[in-house]
Amino acid sequence: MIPSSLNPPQVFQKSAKRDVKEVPFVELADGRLQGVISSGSDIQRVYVAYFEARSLNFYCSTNNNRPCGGLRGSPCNHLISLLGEGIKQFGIPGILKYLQSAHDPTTITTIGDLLKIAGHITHQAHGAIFSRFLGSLQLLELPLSALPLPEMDWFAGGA
Amino acid sequence: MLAAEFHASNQLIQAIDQLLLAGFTNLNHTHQTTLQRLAQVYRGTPLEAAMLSVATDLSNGVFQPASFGLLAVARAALQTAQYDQLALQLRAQLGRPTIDQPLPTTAALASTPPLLSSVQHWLMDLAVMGFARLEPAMINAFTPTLAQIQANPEYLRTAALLAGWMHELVLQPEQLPLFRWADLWTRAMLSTLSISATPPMQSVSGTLYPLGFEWRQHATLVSWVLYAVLEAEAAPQLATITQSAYKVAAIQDDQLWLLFPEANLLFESLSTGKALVLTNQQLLAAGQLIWDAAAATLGDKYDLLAVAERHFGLNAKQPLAQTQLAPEQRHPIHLAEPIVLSNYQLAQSGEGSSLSVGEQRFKLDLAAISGSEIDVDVLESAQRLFGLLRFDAGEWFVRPLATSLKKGKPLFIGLENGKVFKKAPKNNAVGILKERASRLLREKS
Ligand SMILES: [Zn+2]
Repeated sequence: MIPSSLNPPQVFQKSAKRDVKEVPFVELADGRLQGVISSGSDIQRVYVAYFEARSLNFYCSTNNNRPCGGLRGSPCNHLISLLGEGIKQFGIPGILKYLQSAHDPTTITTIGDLLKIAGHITHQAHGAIFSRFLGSLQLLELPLSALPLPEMDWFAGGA
Repeated sequence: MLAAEFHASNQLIQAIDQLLLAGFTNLNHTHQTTLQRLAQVYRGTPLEAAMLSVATDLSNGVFQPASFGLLAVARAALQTAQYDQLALQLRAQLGRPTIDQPLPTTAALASTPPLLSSVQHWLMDLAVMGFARLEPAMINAFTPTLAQIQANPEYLRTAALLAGWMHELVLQPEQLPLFRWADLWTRAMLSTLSISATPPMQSVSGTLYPLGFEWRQHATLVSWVLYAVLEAEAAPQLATITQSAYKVAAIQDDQLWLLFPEANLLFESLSTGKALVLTNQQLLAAGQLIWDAAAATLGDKYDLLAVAERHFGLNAKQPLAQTQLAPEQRHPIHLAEPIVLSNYQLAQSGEGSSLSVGEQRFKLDLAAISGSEIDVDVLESAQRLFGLLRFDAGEWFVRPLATSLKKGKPLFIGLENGKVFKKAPKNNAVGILKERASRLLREKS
């Protein structure tokens, strides 16, 4: 058997369309499921929220580090939206695995199950999340490359 | 049929991969033997002395980025030899000429820029630890460096590989794709050793006959290659056009096209079957056009499969040569020989599908076409296709790019999604995110 250079492990399933208007940014990074959620009322404001690995502790604040008013002991609507869009992008097993949850993955199949195992409020904002969001937007502003890029042959497929 | 040399070099590559899997702090007797074998293979070559001292250092637990750089070179050189052998064999079989054009030389970097040096150190850390024992903290530690590399267009090749690999590493799959990851590790390391300066270009005018798009993507980058025949002043030649754009994971499917506004004209050419008239486009020596939609207009009708068959059929009237890749870029995964198959027998079995023409049998790349415009049913009734012969996991296969059910009406991969050019979606992710970008990024500065 000669092994393959292709066939990456399933990174994220082809999902239902992500709602980038409501949740423009969601990622698994720095040991967290983290992202940015639009404010329902104010186009200038966004919320930054996360669930962290193992404990599944969480927090939500504005990008100016003001605590979210909707956080009262349990995840606010922003965190619920973040989780919903995270599931679309990575799938529940992907999230559980990345967050190193000790729970039996076969018992957690819905967003409600995930919310039940969420931890506590951390009261700690991470400025890095908003910076990473800006960083990803900056990538979209970079000019196209029109030069050959054979390295992408390792990532064949799509569209 | 693969030659014995192929199997021998493959065995050595897989033995090297076992070192990367176990980690260089964990080498057992078999691993040590592999290092000695590797040094022997390079005996009598310019790498002899360097390989010998690297093998000794790595065996003794002396770890420096330069040693791992040379290990990557050694692994890659085995694949360069495989590429050469496979290309020669295939072209002989298809009766196609080979061009021995002078190759652009890639200058090794006199000194490694700090960012690329960080990459080398991180790749070294992964190898020392071993792919089987990677901790999330080690993977996360690279995130800020990756962001900086992505921000610098000069490092696109490095960034393309590492961003794609990071998405895989983060998920820590049960079944670690060792050969693939060792490839990605090797190519990432190689990409830090040289920088390809902008290659020399010449200006061309003539007619371009697009034949099909091949798409490549991971979560944060998407890229396509258009295969085409170019008739300029000289004889016809195979030409390719590539464009690549950063994206975010939420941009998928038809929205991907919206990242490439200049692809609209190429899409129109393909979907309407009208050739393109080029005026002073820039062309690289190896046949790659630097696409500039402003220097092209739609021209006369052409029959895609007829043009393709003339040059890439099994008994082509006017077979075209393909130029060689630079040696340091040759890897079997880059083999992409355009081909037209006609009047084939399509056979489906438990092991997959294949197309037979006379005595010749070609395995079909089912993954590439399932759910696409040119799935098995379409190919069955079309009886003619244009695609690429590619090589992976020890075998050749055909990856179809275009076909036609009604004469002159092309069907190609991307046809459905490309319809966004005609009618942009109201709430498209690209538009929303770009609008956010302009608001938030300006506000910040
Ligand atoms: Zn909130």
